[in-house]
Amino acid sequence: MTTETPCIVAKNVSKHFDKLQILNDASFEASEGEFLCFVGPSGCGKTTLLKIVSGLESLSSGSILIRGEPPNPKVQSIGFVFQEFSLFPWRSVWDNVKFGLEIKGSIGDSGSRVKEMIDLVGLSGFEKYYPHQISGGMCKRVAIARSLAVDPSVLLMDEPFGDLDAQTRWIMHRELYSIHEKLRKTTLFVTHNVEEAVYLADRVIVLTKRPASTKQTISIDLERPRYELSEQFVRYREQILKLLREEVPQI
Amino acid sequence: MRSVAILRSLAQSLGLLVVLLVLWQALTQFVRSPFFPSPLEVAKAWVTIATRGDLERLTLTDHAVASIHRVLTGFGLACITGIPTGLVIGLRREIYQTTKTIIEPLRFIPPIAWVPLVIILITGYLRYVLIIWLGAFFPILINTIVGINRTNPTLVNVAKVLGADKKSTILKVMIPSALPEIVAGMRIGLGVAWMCIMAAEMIGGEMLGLGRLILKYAELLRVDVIIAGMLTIGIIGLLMNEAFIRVENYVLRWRVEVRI
Repeated sequence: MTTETPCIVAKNVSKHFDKLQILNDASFEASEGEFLCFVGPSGCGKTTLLKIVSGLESLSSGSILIRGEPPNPKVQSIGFVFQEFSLFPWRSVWDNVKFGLEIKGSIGDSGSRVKEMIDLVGLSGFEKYYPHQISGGMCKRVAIARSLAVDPSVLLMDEPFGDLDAQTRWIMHRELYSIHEKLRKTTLFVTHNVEEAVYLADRVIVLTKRPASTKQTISIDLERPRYELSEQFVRYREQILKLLREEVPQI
Repeated sequence: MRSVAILRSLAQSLGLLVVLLVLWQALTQFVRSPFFPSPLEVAKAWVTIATRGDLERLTLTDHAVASIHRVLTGFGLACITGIPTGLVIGLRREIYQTTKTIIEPLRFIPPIAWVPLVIILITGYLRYVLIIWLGAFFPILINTIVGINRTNPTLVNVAKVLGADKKSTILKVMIPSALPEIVAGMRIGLGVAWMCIMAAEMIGGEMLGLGRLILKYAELLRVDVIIAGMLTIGIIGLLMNEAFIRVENYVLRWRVEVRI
């Protein structure tokens, strides 16, 4: 897990909208191919942090570098899987996955790339379906395939499985893990689900309540594939939950 | 299963129609007035006008074709003007803020209130087109603005994060996402345009047109022909709307299917 040059370097990132401070001196690094999970109390600014890394939001102070460059979606390829439903309802599964390639103008071999991505997320046979014809879990897979199709330097995921039922979520964890094994994309994954974080992450970064800063980083030293009921797994989970509880106002 | 349900509801509505016609026919037997024709008399008048023509030997088809031509011209112009204007206003909030003091009161003036002004200012075919355009323009304009404004911000973010510039965001995200609303505006606009035919033909000079036919026979107090003309307007309007819905459902087949 040790690479010389980190893929993402965030230093003292702060963000405020008018007087509302969202982020306060958040710093972290992600090495190439690493899977980082951010957990924090709800409303702490997790989404804003991802949007800043993606270049969708500007930062008020501090710096973020992705492979040495400040985030700019027009220059870099950035994959972003949104929390909410984000497919283009007028485009078929195939055309949704193709969207980023159209934007990037790489028409040359886009067909085989789209097919590869659809196969990767296990949706071959559904190419011609429209989003309203497939299930919520399948829509998430399309969104993942779409963000991976552009071969992004980072994959940003904002509570992508928050709106799925427990069973589908369980399956998606396993699929996302195997996709990560194959492609080794540097991934920042925001969630409030601690179990999800311990299952997926190489390292879990716990954020403080708003304005969020990085509270503590925990390396998950568990063999993969992980088992949610193993003793160590539960220990990691409790450790992170304890840190989170410190951030929740006492009732 | 589904076709059975359709057949059943069709049979029910036809049944209701027959009941109403029978009641109407029965009522005319009691009232017995030359100004209250029975459905049979209306049907007879309709067949006469349709086959032999009216006083000037103009058939129902001649009248219908003239009216449809006028309405489609006005409606077409309303689309050509309304959709681009709506796109521009929808994409730039500040234009909407400055123009709404003009647009908002204008759109509540019914087309028929324009009639006196149009009589004074304009002559010829343009009179028809202008009145019909006035009816169709605003629904199309407003729906286009609303459609653009309702674009899901997440979808815009998807495009941005994949590196889309302003132009491709508009072309690939905002316009397709506004399309259902634009098309719905066109459907409403077409309906209103058709309903403006009467007002337009009141002031258009020509003797042709379904509205004109009604007016002509109103002077003769021929209620049977008047009703036959009114029903023709209603039926053609219905058919145009049905045809439009079919095209709409095909073009927007990606929509979550909601059938009315």
